[in-house]
Amino acid sequence: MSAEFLDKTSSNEWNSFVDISPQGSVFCYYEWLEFSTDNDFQILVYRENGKIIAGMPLPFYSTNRIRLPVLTQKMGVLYEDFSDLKYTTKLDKEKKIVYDFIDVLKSHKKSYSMNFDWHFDNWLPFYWRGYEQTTRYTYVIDYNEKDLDLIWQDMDQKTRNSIRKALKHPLNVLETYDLMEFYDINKKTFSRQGMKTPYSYEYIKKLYDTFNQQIKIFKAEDNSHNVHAMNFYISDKRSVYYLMSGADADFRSSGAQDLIHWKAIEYYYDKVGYFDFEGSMIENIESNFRKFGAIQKPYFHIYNKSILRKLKDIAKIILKR
Amino acid sequence: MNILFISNLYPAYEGHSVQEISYTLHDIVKHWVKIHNVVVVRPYFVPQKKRIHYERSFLLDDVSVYNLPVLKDWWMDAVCGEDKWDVILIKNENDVIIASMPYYIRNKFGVKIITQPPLTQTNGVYIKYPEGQKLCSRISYEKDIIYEIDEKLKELKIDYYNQNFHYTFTNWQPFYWKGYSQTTRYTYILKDLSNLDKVYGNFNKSKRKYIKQNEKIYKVYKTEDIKTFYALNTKVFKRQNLKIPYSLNLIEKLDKILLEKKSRVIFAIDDKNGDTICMLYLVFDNKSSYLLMSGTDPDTRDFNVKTLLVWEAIKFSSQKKLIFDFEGSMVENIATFFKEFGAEPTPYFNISKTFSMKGKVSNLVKPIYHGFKKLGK
Repeated sequence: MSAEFLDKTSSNEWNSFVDISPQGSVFCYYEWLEFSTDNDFQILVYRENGKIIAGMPLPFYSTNRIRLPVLTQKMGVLYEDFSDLKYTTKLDKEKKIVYDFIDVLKSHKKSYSMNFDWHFDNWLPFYWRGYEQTTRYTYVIDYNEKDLDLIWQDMDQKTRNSIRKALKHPLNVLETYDLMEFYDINKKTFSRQGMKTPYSYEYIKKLYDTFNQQIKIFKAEDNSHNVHAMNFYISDKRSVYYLMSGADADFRSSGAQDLIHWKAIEYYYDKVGYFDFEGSMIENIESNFRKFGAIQKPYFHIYNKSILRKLKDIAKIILKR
Repeated sequence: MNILFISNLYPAYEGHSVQEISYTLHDIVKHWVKIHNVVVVRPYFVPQKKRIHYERSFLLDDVSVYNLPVLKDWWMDAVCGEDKWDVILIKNENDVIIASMPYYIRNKFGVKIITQPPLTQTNGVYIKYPEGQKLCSRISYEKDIIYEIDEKLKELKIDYYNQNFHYTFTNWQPFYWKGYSQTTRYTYILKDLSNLDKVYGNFNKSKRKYIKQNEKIYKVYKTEDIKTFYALNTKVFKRQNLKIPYSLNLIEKLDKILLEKKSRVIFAIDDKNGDTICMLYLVFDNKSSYLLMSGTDPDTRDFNVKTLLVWEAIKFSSQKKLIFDFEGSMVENIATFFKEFGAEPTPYFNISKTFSMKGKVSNLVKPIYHGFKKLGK
């Protein structure tokens, strides 16, 4: 038993493993890796009695810099559900697996920088192999803890008012299949902030075609069919993720975005366990999610830096001065 | 108006063991306070390890007791030296303290830094939350406090800041927005010692086997001999080519005050010749015990002997209904040793920030130095 690369013929086996792993998500599916890396990836798996019990997707494997593809929230290391194991056994097992994975990365001189699912809770084996870690947050509504009434009550007063206002306007929320329309409004949102859209239309078209069944685009429009805002959601067996959005600057104060979120929260309520806003470390965005009463879930960002890279960092600091 | 200022004779927290003499005093005070309309004030110590005790202001015998901040903490006095530490206090609009952050400040080679004091696992920010606070308000409440702390840290004109936070502190995002860095470390904890058989059952096999075979061979006893403890500890560090990170003077000072506060116990084991081969220094308050220091004679043939002392310390903590905190280590071997007692790794935050060029350089020199040392090997 040791780490090995997954064979392409085992892609279905991998996807089923992703479905049962507590750390698994849509971002780890074989097809996600295919589309987001343009087929430049490997998946390390660890088998026990022939069965996959752990895995580590490695996007952009040929480049020596393992990192997250665009629009990908997290990958990291996935385990089978070890919660029935005795605590020390679980820790030992995780350590053995992570060491085996790291051995492969080190022998192929790959640097690694990755976000982990918030169910991954022990990074010590990475630490002992010289990796570094920091904690980031995502904002999640746990459907198992609250019914819709309680979710509504836990929301910030201002957000509730904004939704009420949007309903009174009236704004209607409906599903759309027009990806081009979405991309246009999404792009405008970026350019308004002086930013380049970090992905092309072709990229999200590929995403949309691959995961058609799991994607919903909702838009809010008024009675004259002016589109105020659009949100893009993708779901897996466990969660729904708020992936992208766009809003028209002319209707910024109509509360459309809040209304879409609320309708989406309602829509997914009986379909998945978690509504995941996909955390942001950006201050303004974070406060928005918080107002929906979402819980802060800490997750790990784990990375390693070569000495060369550390020297580069120092040079940067000195040059800046 | 009459004001009564109570010293530490008065119970500081619920369930605090009260001695007969204070019972009598309480009774007298209780009546006197009611008749003369007296305002009762008690010192609100800067929370260190005993943070929990001071979180509530409370009613005792129908007398409401007001907390008055006192910038004294014997632990920090002992480990830092009285003039080498201070505390940042954050007050709300009613002038009530809602957060505090004790810090140890040092000047090394002209670089002014805030860092962890010796032998102290956690400093960082302690926050008092209003009751029934909504989750979304809680996070902005934390943000306001932390932003204020950042302002006060800037005023201190330090070059570098680095502190470990208590494991109940989980939201470091406001620090992130102010340019701080964070990483997760682990302490090892046995939370529930109410059923010792169960605790013992969670030890791994080799630990249980060792205890069974050696319990009768060695005799664990309590001692007051801090000098022997220090000598043994020095030997342990020396064997690993390390300098012991604390002086005898510091240990004696700390031990004296811990003894006074009845907050420590030292366990030891001798070999057949009567030489002490292993010692363990346990500190405790009314919530938790902390394995502060321990050492096994590097010359002894039995390296597992510490297992017996840890087991003894766990039994001791169980009697006192405490949580057992191994005071985690990020060192692999040590973590493995703790894990074998069934202890759960509990994450806590290390938060740091470089405030100046000086701080940056001194910080960068370290990893490069170690990096080159590694390369040389």
